[in-house]
Amino acid sequence: MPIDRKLLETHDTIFALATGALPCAVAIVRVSGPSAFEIARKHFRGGGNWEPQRAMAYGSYVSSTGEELDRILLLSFVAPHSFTGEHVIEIQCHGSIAVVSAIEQTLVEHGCRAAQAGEFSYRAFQNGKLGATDLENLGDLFKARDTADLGRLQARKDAALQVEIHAVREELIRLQAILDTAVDFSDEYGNVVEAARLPMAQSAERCAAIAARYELFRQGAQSPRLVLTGCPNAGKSSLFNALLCRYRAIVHETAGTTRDAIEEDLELEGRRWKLVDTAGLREGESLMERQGIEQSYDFLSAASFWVLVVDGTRGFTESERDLLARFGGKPHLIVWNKKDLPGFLPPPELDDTVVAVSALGGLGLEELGQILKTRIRQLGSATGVLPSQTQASRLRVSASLLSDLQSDLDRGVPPEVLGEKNRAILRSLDSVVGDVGVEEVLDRVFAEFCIGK
Amino acid sequence: MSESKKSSIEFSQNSALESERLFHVKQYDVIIIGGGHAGIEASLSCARMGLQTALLTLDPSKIGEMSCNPSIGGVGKGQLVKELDALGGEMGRTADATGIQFKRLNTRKGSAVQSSRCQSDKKQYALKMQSVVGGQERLSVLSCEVKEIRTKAGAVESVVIESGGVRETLETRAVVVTAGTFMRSLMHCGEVKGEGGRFGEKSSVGLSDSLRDLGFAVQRLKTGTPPRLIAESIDFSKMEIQEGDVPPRRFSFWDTRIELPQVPCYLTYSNTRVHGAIRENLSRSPLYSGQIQGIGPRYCPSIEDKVVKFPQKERHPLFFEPEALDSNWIYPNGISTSLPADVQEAFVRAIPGCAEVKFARYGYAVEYDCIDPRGLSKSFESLQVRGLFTAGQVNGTSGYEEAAAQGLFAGINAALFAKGEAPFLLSRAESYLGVLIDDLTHHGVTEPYRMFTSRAEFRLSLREDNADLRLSPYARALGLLSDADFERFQARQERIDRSKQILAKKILKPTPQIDAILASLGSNPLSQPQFLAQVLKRPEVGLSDLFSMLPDPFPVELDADTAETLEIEVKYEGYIELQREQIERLRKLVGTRIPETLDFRKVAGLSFELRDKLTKLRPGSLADASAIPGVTPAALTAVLFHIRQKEGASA
Repeated sequence: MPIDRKLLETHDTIFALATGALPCAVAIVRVSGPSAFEIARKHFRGGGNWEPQRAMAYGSYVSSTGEELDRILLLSFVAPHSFTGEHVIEIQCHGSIAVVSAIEQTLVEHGCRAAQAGEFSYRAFQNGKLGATDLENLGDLFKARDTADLGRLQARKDAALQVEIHAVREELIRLQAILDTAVDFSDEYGNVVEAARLPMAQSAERCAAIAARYELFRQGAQSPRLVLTGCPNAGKSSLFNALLCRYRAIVHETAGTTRDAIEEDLELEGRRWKLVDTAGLREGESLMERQGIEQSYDFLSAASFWVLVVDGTRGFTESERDLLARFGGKPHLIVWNKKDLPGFLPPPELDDTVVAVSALGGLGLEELGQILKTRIRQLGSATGVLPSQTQASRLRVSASLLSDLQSDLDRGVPPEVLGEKNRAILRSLDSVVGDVGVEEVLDRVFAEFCIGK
Repeated sequence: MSESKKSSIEFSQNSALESERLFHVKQYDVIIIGGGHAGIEASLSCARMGLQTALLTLDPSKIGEMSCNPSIGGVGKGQLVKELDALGGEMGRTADATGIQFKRLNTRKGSAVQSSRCQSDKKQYALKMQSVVGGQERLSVLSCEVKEIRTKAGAVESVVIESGGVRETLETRAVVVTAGTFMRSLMHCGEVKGEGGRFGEKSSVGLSDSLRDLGFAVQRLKTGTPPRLIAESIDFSKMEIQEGDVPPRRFSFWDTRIELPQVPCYLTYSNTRVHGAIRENLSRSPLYSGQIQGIGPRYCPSIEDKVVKFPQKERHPLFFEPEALDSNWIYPNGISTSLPADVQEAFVRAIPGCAEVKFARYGYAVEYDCIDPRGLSKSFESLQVRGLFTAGQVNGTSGYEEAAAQGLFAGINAALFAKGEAPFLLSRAESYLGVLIDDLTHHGVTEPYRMFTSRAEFRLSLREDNADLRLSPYARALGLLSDADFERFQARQERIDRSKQILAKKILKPTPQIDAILASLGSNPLSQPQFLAQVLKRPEVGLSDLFSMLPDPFPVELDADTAETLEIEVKYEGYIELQREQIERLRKLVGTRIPETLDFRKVAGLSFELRDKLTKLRPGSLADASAIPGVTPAALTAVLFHIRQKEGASA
């Protein structure tokens, strides 16, 4: 929904559900603005007269006609000591749709208004409780998927990005120098413009590469895939569940189940992984079976790490050997399953890491976990400092302006005009490292994030 | 100026008259110290603005002397001359009257940064300036040395001069110092050095001390000049001939004529023999022996600098320029040097065409004192002493054009100060002069400052062709533009406005003839009727091409300059509009006041260094903040945002 900037400038009382989708165990309705305390006085019953000094109070929330709507915990924050810097109350009620909408109804009756996306943060910002950069980082915080991402967010504050962008800047300054030379020293260096081609191409590439990191981060495409494969009944699903039990990531999304595979998020060594359970390698010659194998190949191609689950009471099958031959170059390990069953064959001596476990019985899983972690650590993590969204979008724009510049050069646009465009690019880069261009940051933050709700 | 033509009293007479007058009247509204390119413009503008003005010089016969190259203009510099001319200055008129070769630079099709340059007859140039100065009402020229500038209660009170061993005190309200390279100057030619600001002339010893006492920081710079060669001893057939433009295009927007005969220059190149001769004797160069302490300009290096810094280059272009029509002196542009005389002879003789060359004078370097221009306000008035202005090389610049433009500006402000009026300010968004003022007062100089187009952010808007449109209204308001010139200006402006309207509204319908013309230009046929301006926006279509497609003659009569303005404005409309928006944003931004209660330490997004600086200096507005070195547009935005945030919170 587009944001009404005019509404942002009003200072009425706003409210919003601060917690996730209903129904749920507990919901928090946050109210900020001049009439927040008046609402509490009118609708809260419990422990005598309510005053804002009671930071936390337990009692009933009643309708305007005095009926109890719910038992609630009421938190109050006196301005300026609140998130928004205004008077704020938080109504912690049961997460029922009926309860929450009844409470919201009373708020509307008081002339309160449902907050727009990001409006709480905006007020916090207006009241000096949040800086523009805080806001943007806050926005990205919600998007961060694992602790490694958090580390990269943290690194954003470091000089690393500045160093990288300064390198691009240097290149662009060089470019500017070439273009200006062509103008200011035309009688000596009329043809120097040709030398502008290389720095143009290089800086365009660099800008695009740094910006691309943010895209990857945002799409979560950097979650590497940990793919389980093996023949049916080798115990893939048991292992899948066992790993999930231990390492399951906290997610809000529902697991993506496809016809061919099940995916779940797990967190290992500070990194978010997609754990993928493939349909399995059926032995046979039929078309269906061949297709299943082809699909397994696709999953393995896309995997960052794969685990071959072998039924330890049976040993390698033909198709398992085939997989090892095909994908042995990719980081992987072999799980020799069903350790607890009679007839369990000793794991073979191979160059590959082979771990004997009982996925169902829970034997050797600790060891497997350790080995997985060690192997994963060796994979390293996503590299490069993560730019913020604004920085990334400026860099993307710079990259595309730079490639326009290249075609301008080809069309014979005079150097003073090329120089003009390049200067504009430089200015926008300055604002990337300069931590400003605040208006722009804000517009983006409030348009795209639903902060503080 | 009509008044400058009224009298043509000879210089010496005038000077004599003035010494007599000095005896009785020792009071002037404004005193200009120095008769170089800055001093001339400063004194003329003061006198023309109605003030009793004295021009003090060591030698009145050297007024308007071209100490170095015999040319005016060039890329970036031509723009300054045009602006100066638009503001009622003298340089453009005199350049037209004494030019012996005119050339436009950067004339590639559709270029918006064209610049003018001319070769001048340097003798005629100086004589012409002397006659203009001598004929100027209210302007007296005094031949003397300045000993001291006296102040009272932080304001200029008088100037102490010495002439023929006699000291005198001249009372004044304002002083403009335009002493050029003459403050504590040292000339170097190899191991030989001597006092003096120009060949055969004295140095002014007391003045820089006086300026230092008045609170200026003084620094040392260096410049240089090549040897002068005798024309008859040069074999020009071994060089490329370089003719000027035909027809020549004038500098001035006003009623001037190019009347002197036009002559060629010659192009030749240095070679490895030349470079070898220089390299062998580097130890004898005062630049490399450490004898010279001052910092020279990187953009105008001596030949020994070029050889040392660009060893991979096997040749450098050298332009041989005539100094005057009735002189046999040649100025070899490109071999400025302070090597000893014998080395100069050795390497010059290795230049093609110079085997038998005779020297008229050896090249030399000059070290001189200049002030740190960060001690000046944006009207070029000292921050320490009211009524004290400086302009030209004294402010750390180089070049006649830079000097003259500053002279005019400082002169105008000295005159306004003497009248008790508010200063005249120029922003970098409206003129190269504004850029120059801004750069000098913000950043100071580390080498002699020269104008380049790249210093001007808005160079697509700050063009030579529209300098009058940008600045002449100011000149009129200041009283620096005669009625006749102003009428001329208004008529031109009207022609441009009308033409623009016609181009924007008139439609060109496709016909086979038009398509044939377009095809001959390599342009696509008209598929549908189009506005004239749309057709002119095509890169391959010029204004004259467009006019050839019209069924009837274009209803406005256009001279070459006006046609050029029109063509550029239409072709670059998009960019110019973009710059206009930027300028507008900048203007709004700097107009914001900074509340006195604002705590800079709490402004997010500022470096610690800037927070410190701003806390200390406490600028009252964003404009003031922008004047502080190191305060970037980004930092300004951060401060602006902080202000808005606070306002939002208290609202």
